[in-house]
Amino acid sequence: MADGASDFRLKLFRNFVLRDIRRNMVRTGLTVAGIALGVAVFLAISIANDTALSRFRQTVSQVAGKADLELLPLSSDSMDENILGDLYFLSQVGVKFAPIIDEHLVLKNGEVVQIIGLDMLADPEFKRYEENDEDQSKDSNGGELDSSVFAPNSALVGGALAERLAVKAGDFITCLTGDGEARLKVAGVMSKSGLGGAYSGNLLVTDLPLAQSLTGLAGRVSRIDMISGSGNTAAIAEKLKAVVPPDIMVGSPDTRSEQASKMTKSFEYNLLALTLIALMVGMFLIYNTMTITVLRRRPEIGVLRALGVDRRVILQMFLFEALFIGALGTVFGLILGAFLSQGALMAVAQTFQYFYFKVPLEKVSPDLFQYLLAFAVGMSLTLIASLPPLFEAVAVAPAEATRRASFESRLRLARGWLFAVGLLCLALCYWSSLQGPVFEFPFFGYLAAFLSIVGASLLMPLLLSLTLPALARFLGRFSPRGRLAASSLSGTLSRTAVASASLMIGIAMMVSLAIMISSFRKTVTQWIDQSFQADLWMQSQARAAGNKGARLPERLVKEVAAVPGVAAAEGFVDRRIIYKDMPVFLGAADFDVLARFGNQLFLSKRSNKEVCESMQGLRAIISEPFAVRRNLKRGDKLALDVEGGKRDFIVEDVFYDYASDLGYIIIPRDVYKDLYRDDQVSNVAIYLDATADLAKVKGELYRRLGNLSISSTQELRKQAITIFDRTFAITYALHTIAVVVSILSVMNALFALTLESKREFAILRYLGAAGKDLASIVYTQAAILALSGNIGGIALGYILSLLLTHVINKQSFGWSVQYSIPFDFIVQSSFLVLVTAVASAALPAKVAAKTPAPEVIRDE
Amino acid sequence: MSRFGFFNLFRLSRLILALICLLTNSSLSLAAEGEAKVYKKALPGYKYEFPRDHFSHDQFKTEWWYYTGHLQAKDKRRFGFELTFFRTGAEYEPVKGKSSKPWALDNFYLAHFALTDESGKVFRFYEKLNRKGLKFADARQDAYYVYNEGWSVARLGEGDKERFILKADGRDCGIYLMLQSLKPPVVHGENGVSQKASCLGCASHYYSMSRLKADGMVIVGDKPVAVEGLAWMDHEFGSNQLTSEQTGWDWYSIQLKGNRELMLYVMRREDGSFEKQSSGTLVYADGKSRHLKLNDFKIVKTDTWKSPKTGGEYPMGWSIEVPSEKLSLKLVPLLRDQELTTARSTGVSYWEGAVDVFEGGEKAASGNGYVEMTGYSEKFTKKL
Repeated sequence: MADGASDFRLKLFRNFVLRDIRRNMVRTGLTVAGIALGVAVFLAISIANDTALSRFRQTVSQVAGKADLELLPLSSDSMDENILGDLYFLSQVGVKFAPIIDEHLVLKNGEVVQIIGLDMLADPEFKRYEENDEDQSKDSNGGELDSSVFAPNSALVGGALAERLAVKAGDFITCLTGDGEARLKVAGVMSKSGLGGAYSGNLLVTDLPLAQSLTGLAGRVSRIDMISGSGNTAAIAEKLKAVVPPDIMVGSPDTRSEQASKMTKSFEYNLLALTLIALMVGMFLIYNTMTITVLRRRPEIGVLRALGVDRRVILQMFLFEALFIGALGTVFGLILGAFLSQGALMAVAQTFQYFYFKVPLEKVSPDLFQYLLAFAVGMSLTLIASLPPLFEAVAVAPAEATRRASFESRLRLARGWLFAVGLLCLALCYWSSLQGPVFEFPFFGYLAAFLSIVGASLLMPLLLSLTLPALARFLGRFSPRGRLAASSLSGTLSRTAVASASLMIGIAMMVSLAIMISSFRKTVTQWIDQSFQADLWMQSQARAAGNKGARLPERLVKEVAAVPGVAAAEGFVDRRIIYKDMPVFLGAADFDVLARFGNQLFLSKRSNKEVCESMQGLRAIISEPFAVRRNLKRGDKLALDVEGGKRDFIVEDVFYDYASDLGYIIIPRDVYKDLYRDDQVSNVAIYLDATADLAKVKGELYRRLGNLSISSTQELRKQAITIFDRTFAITYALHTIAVVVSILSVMNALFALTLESKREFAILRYLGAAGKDLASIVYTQAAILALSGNIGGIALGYILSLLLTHVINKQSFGWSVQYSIPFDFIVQSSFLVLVTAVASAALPAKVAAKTPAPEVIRDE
Repeated sequence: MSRFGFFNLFRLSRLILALICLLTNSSLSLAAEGEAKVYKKALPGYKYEFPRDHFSHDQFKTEWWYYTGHLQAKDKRRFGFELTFFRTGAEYEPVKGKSSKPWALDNFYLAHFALTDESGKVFRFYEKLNRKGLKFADARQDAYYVYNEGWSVARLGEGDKERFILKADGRDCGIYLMLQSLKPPVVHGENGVSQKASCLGCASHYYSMSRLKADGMVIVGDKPVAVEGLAWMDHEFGSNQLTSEQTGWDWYSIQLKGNRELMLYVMRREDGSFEKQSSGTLVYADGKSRHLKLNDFKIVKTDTWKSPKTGGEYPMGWSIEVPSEKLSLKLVPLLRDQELTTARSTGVSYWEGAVDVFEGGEKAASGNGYVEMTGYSEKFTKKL
């Protein structure tokens, strides 16, 4: 009996589910494609994000070796090496410790590589690396020490770097130092294991003093690594805290990984959230497909129920269908996502490297977890999306066998309620948009975005049921076909509403991203135009190539000022410090010069001159992202770690800045020189006399000062815009995908409508309509759907863009963005969607035109 | 570090080996940009002067200060210790101006510390390697003060009050000793040089304080134990290296009853014979000494021991004859396993241990000794 039942079920599945899927191949294909795209984008982005962070973590641990404790400077990227003198007690308790330089170095060819400086005599347990050596098979125990690393100016070279530069032991590499060049002899090439694998093999390892001199850090070290060994780590850390100055932190390699993940959190969440929109469109597609399937087959369900088939079997069959389509889409999505992930990584790599950390990100390292997560997301969203149609299927009573209209009529009854719920959602959306971030994460911002999408979708049925009959009357004046097209849509409200809603979401995503990008771009451009007032900018070649730590001697500022035609020169210096567990840039500026020549914009609307003139003593101006993310405002106290201690600064004002989401703190240069014992400059802003000739002055600067990088403000602006576009590269990609998904949804809806309208079409044929009449009805319907989707999409897109720019972005990054709508783009893309939608009706129109009259009508 | 460590390449830890390659054999290292340092050779006619010659001689490439000794607690518990400080000069002059001062590589400083716990049958061994850095290690040229991290030897006081303070510790043991020399330093070799091969300059300056009274404590497993006993100090400096035919050596320091001491070393050649320049010194009770040539003494091994760790087969018991002095000695190790192998010394090992000395067929030991044997686990090394 049991066998008979399962046999029956199996047949039922085959006939009822699989055959149906096969028959509706195109529509199933579109749905699968929609889900696949959503899942693929989600997977690609999460792999890219995860790769970036895991590569950072991996590098940290490769460089750290066995070290489990470290001393990290908070007030700078480096610290005074003399602190080593206070650490003798460590060896008494069995702790090994060694200083390390971990910095960027720019090679002559402009490439930025990592340089690791070690005390090569420190315990070999610390850093394990091997050299590639064909002659000898050295054991992997590590601790190998080639004598040649002690020869003057000699460095070990990472495998990848050696290969790229085509150098071997005995060759030379030239690199840029702060004030010139240095020639390094290759002492050996490291293999990929241990330290040699850090930074993907793009590194140089030298004895400590050489690294110090190459990086301009004589007398300083980046960190001190420790192996606590005894298992007494907590006690040792406690003792260290008591011994070291307050601006030195006792941490572990994990501390830095945590900092990195904190600092990139906003960027990552934002990317991920954007992919959720793509997934949401996918959800609508499956909802759409399942709803239509259930509606179309209500009679069949009724018959089955009348024959005594259990509700559970019905549920199982539709659930199977939904999961089948979902799984198919998800699996395709996983495959596609795996391919896309490399591209996604490339798109975000430069942003990570430019703004957060310089770790080579040349290849994705997908984790099984990412795939499992993407699979789970794909499947569960499919399940959630198909729940309403599933309930609908189960609710079919045997008696309802042939009453097709009952669902439509119930929807008609419910549309008022749905509208009310939609309005409630929008109200909640408004409320959510006013809420603050939760643990620095704009939770309510995303909730508001979700609510706005759901709300707008729920408004659809009522709005359509009100407008479509009017439209039918209006179109009817011109042609009966138009009237038919509109009223047929109105008659099948359930499908129409779902189709327009999914199109609406796709377009809304496209529109909102377009508005966000355009607003950002405009804001940044204006900001650059206003605040970059100097005529020329000078920095070392190493810094220009990307080594942000490269410095120039202060005397250059005076030498620049002495050049004829130069009105003033302002030396600016910045460094990355740690403020409350997260990195921030600390800069020092000459406010006397800035007061006269600068044009910084402040939140308080005070003038540049007024603010700059009050910048005396322990006062700081902070950038808007820093103020927002760390909850600081004008007049607040700001406790900063300085060399060897802590100082309280007063926040004089908050300035607009779009250069970094980590934020800037700017203090007076004399205060900085005193508290941070650093008199170097990162760059020099050069203001010219009104009559001076820019090219002439630039030539004279090169002639007098030699190998430096001098850019005009125009070049700098161009650079800034390039960096901006690079940052938004991934958003542009998502933008394109949004358009593709929306068009898929239009095609899907049209197919469903056409197939579902077979009866109507057959009746029309019976009544004498020609094939091309039916085709034109389909085209008209496509246009109506695209139009309603467009109108709804632009409206919803407007709401989403407000949420993205003013709530989500503000809470994640802290940037004030001037709202700007790219009308031309929106008009163009709406038109494109309309055209594509109508064009995509070609296939369903052909199907419609071929509808044979007598056959289908028979059972009616 | 074994005493002739810097003369020989193969028996050192690979880390140190590489170092020595750099320091002693410039043909092995790449021609680098930088000026090669020129060191003084150990030549005949050197005039010793104390305490100045206790200090570091940076004009010579390599130098070591070497302490061994036998210590006894009140409860008769016995310990042997070895504490060696080693300095070896860099091959290149440091690049001037560029690198920050404390890290400049003038010298490499190494140190070895071993403790033999006879009653506990435990042999412990530790090592250190540092540059001068921020006072990580140093051997002063203006005082007898040599240190490497927490390990140190310092000379305090003058004349009768002169004392040497030794300090070293490892993870689970340590020594803290005050030494007083009962005899003036004795210079080995002839005309101020201890010849290691026939060539000119294939030699070192080498002297010992062969009888040092030791008082202090040994710390084992966090427990301080008051001890006293006898120690031996060697100090050697030079700039040469071993010839290629020499495969290793055996070295003996023996403190006999009647206040006499005997030092012998033999350089073994590839063909199994002893190098002609192998020699020794007998120190009489009054502090006077006699140079012993190879044919003045005879050494016969009486037992062997195969190291389970390295597979090296070492002599493990000796009978020594100095016919002209009517000396007939038997040497028996306190522990058989006093072989030094560490994580750093991958596959390269040597045996350095405390021995009991029986004179003329005695039943009970009447003297102390230390024996060093190198080059016995060489085959094992080559297999790697």
